[in-house]
Amino acid sequence: MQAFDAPSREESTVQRPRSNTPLQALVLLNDPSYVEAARALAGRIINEGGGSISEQLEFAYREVLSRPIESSEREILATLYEKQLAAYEENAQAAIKTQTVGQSQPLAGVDVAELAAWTSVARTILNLNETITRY
Amino acid sequence: MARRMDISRDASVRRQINRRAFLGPTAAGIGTAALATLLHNRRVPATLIPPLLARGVADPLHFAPRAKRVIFLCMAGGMSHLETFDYKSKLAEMDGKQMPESYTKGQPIAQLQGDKLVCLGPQHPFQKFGQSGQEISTIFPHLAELADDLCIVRSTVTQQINHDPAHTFMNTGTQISGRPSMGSWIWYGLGNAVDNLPGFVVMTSVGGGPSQPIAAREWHSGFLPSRYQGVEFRSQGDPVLYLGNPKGVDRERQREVVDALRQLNTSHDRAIDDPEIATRIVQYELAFKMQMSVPALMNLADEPQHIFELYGTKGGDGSFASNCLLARRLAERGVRFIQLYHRGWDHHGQVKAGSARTAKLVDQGTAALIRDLKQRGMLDETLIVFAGEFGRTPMAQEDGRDHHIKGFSVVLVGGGIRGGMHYGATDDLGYHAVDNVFHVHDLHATMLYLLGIDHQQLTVRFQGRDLRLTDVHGKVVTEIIV
Repeated sequence: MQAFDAPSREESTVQRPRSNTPLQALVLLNDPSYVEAARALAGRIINEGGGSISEQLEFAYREVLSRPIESSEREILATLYEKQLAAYEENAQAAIKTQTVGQSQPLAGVDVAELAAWTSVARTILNLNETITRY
Repeated sequence: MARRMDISRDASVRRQINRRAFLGPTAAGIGTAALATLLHNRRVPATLIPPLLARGVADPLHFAPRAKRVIFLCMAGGMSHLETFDYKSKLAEMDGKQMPESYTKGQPIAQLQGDKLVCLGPQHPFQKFGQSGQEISTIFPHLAELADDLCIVRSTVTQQINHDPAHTFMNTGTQISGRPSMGSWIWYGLGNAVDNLPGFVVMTSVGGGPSQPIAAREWHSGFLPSRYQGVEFRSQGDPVLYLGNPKGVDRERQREVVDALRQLNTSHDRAIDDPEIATRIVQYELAFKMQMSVPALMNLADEPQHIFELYGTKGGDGSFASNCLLARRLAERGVRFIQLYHRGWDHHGQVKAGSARTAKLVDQGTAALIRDLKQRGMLDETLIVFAGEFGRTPMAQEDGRDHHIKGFSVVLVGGGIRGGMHYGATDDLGYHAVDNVFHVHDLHATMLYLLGIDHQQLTVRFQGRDLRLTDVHGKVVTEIIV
């Protein structure tokens, strides 16, 4: 938590400084804990999100940001999903690897390329400034 | 344009709007930005994203610069000037005798308050070194060989007598916490010279004496845009955590994720009036680039054996010397402000053995850094500052010394500084700076001058005042400049 301004506890801390650094971006993007969370969210998007990509993105935004997704946002994330899906369909080994991050078991009965692609989308949504900042 | 618009709320927001309107579109021309604003375009053109290679606000520079960057070697804890760079024969004579009250009456005292004040003579012999005959303690054999490159300032004064506020004063020019650190000011003033590393990097090491804590707020950007805050690299193990992509994610896939994030955050930035979003966008781009640049930075396989011998380290061991080697590599890559803290100078007791131990841990690395920069032709453009947050008392604290702010030594090297000279002096007991008093504000003013910045012109309006690193003080000490 040092990257997120946790005090070292060597002295009393009256006010924590608030920082916004590339080190934080790296943790949220690449730390296995966060990737595993994205993996879990991807599973829910597939199982609970509905039948179309559009509905699934709507579900993800409501779950994470408690608001409807805007059409421009949907367009960006749908494009991301298609690109990632195409890449993971080409490379099944990589897709399988994405589902081994963390301790939870890979989701069974779901196309692994889809799962990998949704994991990428979930990582994106979980890294949004809007997601990680409380207003 | 904004859901939450309270311009008076925060100067940084006002500045952000100004910056957006005038500085943002440097690549595309102001017309594009104006048009985009007029059209309330939700899709922001790429040119409006703050570039990683941001130009400094001091553009053009106010003076012809002597230095392009600063390496600040902080001897944290308070290096004793009396055992290192300021020999006092009178103090040796007075060893064990009462400190004359004329020196100490009414003066701020840290831990010795109410105690009987007794002189403690210099604990290590000094010798004259180099053609310049600079007097340097024998506990710095490597640095002493470079006597003719060093400018020893013996008349430094600061205002805060305890570690944390004194560091805050040294870093920000005020004891009030929350102001920007000098590294942030310099990065803000000069802009970036590199787009894949932060412009301000901090590393710490310990050893040789009690290590006081150092808080991350010492390299905070205060009221400057938060992208200018210093970034701390861990000095042992992985310098930066989570540089590797998640399993199954290659660089192309990661790029697509970061691109989508940038697009979404950028559209959010248009809707919400919060300068932190722009910083977030920049930091994700920088993070992505650091995934490549930091492993290259840390890979010392390209260093020849003689370099490891020069520094006395193989690197990556968390030592001050290892950090010095990394500082050189950061300097080569264009990082503006590199700050190394060695936390091990707080010798309230055993100042003789302690100062020798700590000196041994920093001496070779510092000298190696100077030599290494010199052989690469980089010393002329790199200002090295070697300074504690304060000095130590001429009075004994049993066999140690207490904190002292009325006169202590800092050493300046390279970057337009005149070598082989000393400047200023303390009185005959090493208590008060009496000749050419060199305030921390003067250090800041001179440092900015060497970088081409007028310390009186680099200001930011905050809470109704045009604030600057030197507050309303500071003078450029031209006598120590080539």
